[in-house]
Amino acid sequence: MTETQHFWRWSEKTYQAPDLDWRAASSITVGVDVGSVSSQAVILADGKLLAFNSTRTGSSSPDSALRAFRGAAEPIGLTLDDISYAVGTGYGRVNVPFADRTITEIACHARGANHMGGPSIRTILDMGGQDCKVIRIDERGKVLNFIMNDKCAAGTGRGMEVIADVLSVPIEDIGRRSFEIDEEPAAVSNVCTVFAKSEATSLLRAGWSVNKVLAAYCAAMAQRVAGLIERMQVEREFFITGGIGKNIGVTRRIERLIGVEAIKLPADSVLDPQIAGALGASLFAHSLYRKAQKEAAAAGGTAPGNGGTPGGAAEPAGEGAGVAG
Amino acid sequence: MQVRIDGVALNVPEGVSILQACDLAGRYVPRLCSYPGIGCGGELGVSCGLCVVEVTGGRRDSEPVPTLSCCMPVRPGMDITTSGPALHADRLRRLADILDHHPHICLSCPDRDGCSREECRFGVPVEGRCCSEFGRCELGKLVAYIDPGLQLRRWAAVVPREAHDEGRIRREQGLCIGCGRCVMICASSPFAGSALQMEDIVAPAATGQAGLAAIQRGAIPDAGGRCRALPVKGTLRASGCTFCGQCVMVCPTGAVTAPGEAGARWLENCRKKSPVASPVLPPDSWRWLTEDELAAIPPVPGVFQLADSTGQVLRIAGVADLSRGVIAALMEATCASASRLWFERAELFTQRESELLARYAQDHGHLPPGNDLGDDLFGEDLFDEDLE
Repeated sequence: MTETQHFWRWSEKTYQAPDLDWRAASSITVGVDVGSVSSQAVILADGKLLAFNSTRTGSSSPDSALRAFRGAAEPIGLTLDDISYAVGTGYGRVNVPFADRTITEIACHARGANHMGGPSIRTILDMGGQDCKVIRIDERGKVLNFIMNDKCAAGTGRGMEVIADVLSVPIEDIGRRSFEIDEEPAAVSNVCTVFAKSEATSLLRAGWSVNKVLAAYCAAMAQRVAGLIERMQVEREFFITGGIGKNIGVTRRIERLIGVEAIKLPADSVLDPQIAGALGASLFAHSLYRKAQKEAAAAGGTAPGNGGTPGGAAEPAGEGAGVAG
Repeated sequence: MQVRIDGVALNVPEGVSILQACDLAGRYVPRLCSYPGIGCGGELGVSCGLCVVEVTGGRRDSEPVPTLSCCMPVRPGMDITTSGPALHADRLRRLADILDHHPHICLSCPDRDGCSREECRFGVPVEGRCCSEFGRCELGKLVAYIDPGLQLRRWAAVVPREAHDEGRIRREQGLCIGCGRCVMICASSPFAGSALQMEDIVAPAATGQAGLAAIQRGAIPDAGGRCRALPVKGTLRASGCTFCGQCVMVCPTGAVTAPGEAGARWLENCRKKSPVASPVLPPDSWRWLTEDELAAIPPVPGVFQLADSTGQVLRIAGVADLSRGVIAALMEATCASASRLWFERAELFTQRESELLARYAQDHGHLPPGNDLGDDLFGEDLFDEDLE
């Protein structure tokens, strides 16, 4: 039996800060983003980036949340019991079993992008697994307005995975290869994911190279997204989050269409646009934990230390509940 | 004076119309040309005919007589029936005449919620699709109320979609259903400049004073006369428009709008400067927050909205358990003044929540107060530099 190659499979990414001892930290806050296609966990120690992990969402959201967390935490020996505060976000946010609170992915992507791109960011393009959002934010990363397209997989991460499989091109090579062409082709007219296979096959049969077909698909996705951005009347600095944020075949074409260059992460940054939601959630978790500490102190109680809040309801739970000194 | 409305005796002030009496009684009667504080299209001879009710007594007739409730004042002893198979059939027929000349296919589309509005999955051309007021327009709500079972033929009624922008006001004449509201408020409001008039496309049987007199005698004009509102001298500016925005506020369709976020903000300002009465809308699924209603919320996944008594939405949320979720939200400080509730069952409630939030944000240019995260969750990242 030959092993089938899954061209859609993107590499799962994990990071642990090399020189941070979380055992010395007074708070461990976690953000978990359970999306429709991928799940991420970001762990902060006293607000500093300790670890993150990005993995594929499985059939069970609670399992995916745990898998994302463990991928980040296990290499450094951190367990659920060490968490001071956790925030769940994303499409499956209510299925993060250890979350103290849930916050929408819109707010979390805004906060995360603000952190990655700096306070000048005013517009975020979040290209997720199954939807696409344009979010306008203020200088603190607070959501002012947003629009979304969630009824069509074309132009989303899932759509890109289908194209990768149909053309047998590893998904991480699509962006680069879509520029290895003699001449930019017209965008494919039908970006429907359902018809991608027959569309691509007929183009290949008509003599197009694989790279040219990729270019035509990337251009079509960029066009769809650019339309959404223009509806938001964007002029100022923008940042791209989500998995497709890593596909230059789409992002560069979006930049060309709207005539604005996206703010990028520094080349040496360990961060990844795909973790923006979980990063935002972890920052909210940090703020919420500090707020709970202050309130506890003001109420005359002892400030909660680095204690566990195991379990916890997925719906907004009492802040700092279940803190053992 | 005493009248009976749907079998319930009621004292109403003298001089009110049957329609106003029904509003006082809390019995909703469909209407398009009539608007509170402005009058009804009968005054312009453009009656929509939807407000037809059956009236017995108050005259010598003993048989119930179909009567246009907006134009007819109440008389003592009237017995008014606001609904029934004959009335419903009549309203459907009149609504069909309106929809024949107004795009409406999106109202019954399976993708109506959350459609990108960019491309149509069914290939309906832009001219046949609903306009940017889709989801908000009064006509759409009326269609949902009168024809929830989709008895009327729904099709891609194509109209010319030429937009005329002046200031923040956009006119799309093709979308005008000729209800006459904008013309009436423009002529009668102290803020407006009498800049609009009706123009016949197909002349009705009787117009003007003769038409009104006929209606008041009990005659119901044949549906079939069609007209539209236009500026008196071609453009709004040339016609003396004051840009008070009141025509936009009363239009039941997308024929006169203030597009975009800037338009929404402008209109909100206009509302403060030159307010108009709220429209009487078909009863929707908003309910008052009573003990009984709270107890009746099912423990199923879904989305809900909480609003105060003025209709201001305070909170939008998708929850795994509606019953628990609503009660938890009512504990939040921003929802203290909540008095009305809307909910809907949705398995994909987090996604549906985002859709409702997106729609709200597009309409208002900001998120509902209860969905705004507190300022204390922002701007105190002491360790920013460490994350770079």
